[in-house]
Amino acid sequence: MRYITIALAKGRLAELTVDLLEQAGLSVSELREKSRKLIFTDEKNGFKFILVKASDVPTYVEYGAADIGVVGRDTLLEDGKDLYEMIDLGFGACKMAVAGPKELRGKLDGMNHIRVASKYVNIAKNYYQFEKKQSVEIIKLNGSVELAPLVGLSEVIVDIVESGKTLKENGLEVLEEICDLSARFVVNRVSMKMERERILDLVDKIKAQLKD
Amino acid sequence: MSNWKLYTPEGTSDLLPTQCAQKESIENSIAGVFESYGYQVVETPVMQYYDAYDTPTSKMEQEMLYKFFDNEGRIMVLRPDVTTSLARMVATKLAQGPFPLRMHYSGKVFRYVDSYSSIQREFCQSGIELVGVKSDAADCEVILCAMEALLSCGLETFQVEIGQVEFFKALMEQTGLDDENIETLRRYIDKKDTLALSNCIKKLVLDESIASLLLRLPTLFGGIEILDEIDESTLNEKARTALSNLRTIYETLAACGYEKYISIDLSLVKGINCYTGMIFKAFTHGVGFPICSGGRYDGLISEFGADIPAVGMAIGTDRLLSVLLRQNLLKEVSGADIFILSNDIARSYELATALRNEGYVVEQDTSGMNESEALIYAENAKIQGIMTVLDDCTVYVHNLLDGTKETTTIDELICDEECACEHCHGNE
Repeated sequence: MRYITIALAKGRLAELTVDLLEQAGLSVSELREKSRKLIFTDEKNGFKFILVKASDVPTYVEYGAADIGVVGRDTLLEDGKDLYEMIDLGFGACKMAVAGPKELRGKLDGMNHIRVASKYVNIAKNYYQFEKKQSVEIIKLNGSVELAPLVGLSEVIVDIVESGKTLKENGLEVLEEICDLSARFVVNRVSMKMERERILDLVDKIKAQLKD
Repeated sequence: MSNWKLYTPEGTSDLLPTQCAQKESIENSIAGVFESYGYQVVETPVMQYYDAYDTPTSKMEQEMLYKFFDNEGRIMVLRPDVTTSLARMVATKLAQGPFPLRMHYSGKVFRYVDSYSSIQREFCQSGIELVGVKSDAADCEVILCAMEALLSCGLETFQVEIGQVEFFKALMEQTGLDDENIETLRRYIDKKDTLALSNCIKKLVLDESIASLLLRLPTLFGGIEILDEIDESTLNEKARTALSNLRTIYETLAACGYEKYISIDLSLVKGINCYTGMIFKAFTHGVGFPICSGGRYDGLISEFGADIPAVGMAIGTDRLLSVLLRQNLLKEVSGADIFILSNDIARSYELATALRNEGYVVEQDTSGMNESEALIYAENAKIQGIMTVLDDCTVYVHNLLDGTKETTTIDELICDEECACEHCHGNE
């Protein structure tokens, strides 16, 4: 039997996914051991698990190096890869939003030039281009994005908002919501056809778990 | 300024002798299948005017095209596909027929694809177009030909997914939605994103039977049985025709013995501005993208002035090559049959020519090797035998396949019994 490979985003998302996969009947004991290994197998069911950086999950799946991936919707939207998004796993729920100082509330639409700082350059670009139909300047940052409006690098930021606590502590608030985010179960287009039965079987089992 | 002289442009690559021989060999087997079906080879220029890709049917996102200007300031593109230029060729030069017209081609196409991870921008395609017929049989022929071509290259496992864009379009006509909403629905169905799809459907005012069918579309893929799961009573004529076309194609291909390679996917809804009927894609293990795709495009040729139906497909030969390589299905490429060692090309020329005329691939030494150097070279170059010309008449033959060595004469090697040449008879 050919192995079906599942790419998991390292970290908390992987832990939650492992629980779900176990409930769906896969043997994940190897994954629970603390180790530095990156590849694990479930010989009985013919599954392989690989641990990769979250932002790389869509790439592994698009190229078919992994048949299935579990990753946040933020990463999927940012990468815009051509994959099947089969299940909304529900966990890791949060929002993508435009945030900035509260003085800007209601004023963004009329501004001629907005500088937007974000880790999610493509999401920001698509939002302003297709939804807002505004030309903006996008500044790519790799972390601590909240800082940008405070030091005058940008007017607003586009970032993930969970509780809004970080924003509040830095004197920012959500000005516009872009979309809801949560973890997704994605499948490579070719794998879906070549391994249809086994993948759909897993999808059904996971869906059944999510309903309970 | 950086100097790029040592590099191939991004997304392109060189083909070294072995790879190139393998690629040519699969292109030849594919072309052989096409020609055995009566398809005749054609060519169109690699450069085309941009306008050909700016019609409603042939529209490509301008970000995907390689563009430049000619000396009159007109916008040119490197062709992103071959079909569009063939449509122009047919409409402007072959519109009087006779039809059906069967054409095949092999060549390069160019596309800017996703700038980060995907590295390929120059693609090799071998394809066919069956022009002037609108029938289930023509649709079947193109898919059959594609499958035979894949098999002829040694590919063993693959899946051909067949869809019907008219089915989706017919459903959309029944809903009366505007283009923007249709595009949103299409994108969610294409991604099998049932959650986003159901949210979107909830927001729209849709007939209940159509809404529930749309919601099920992403899961409607598999064998012929999925067609039985659709309640046709609520469908319009166009949708029913589309389903009946799919059923006929499936049953025909199954009857031809190809059932294990085919399946149906009603959520295959890509390229709906160009395609007007059956569409299909072929997949295999080891590559995350289709290796072959095609479909019916009855509106394309009319963009160039002649209303002629057509159906066609193209195989991505470089993708196929990489798949065959990964699945260990490529034939070993051998070197020359014979390497001739001689201190004088003129002296061995007659021998080399005679052997070449008999179909052997013959290399002549041009670097003055001695015998042991020749052995090392022959081994590396996978050459099968060495002939050392000793004098005007005698040759030392070393067969590297079985290790035998013998001394013989040139006459013996190149003359058959009835030969009356000076060599054969002069010494008697």
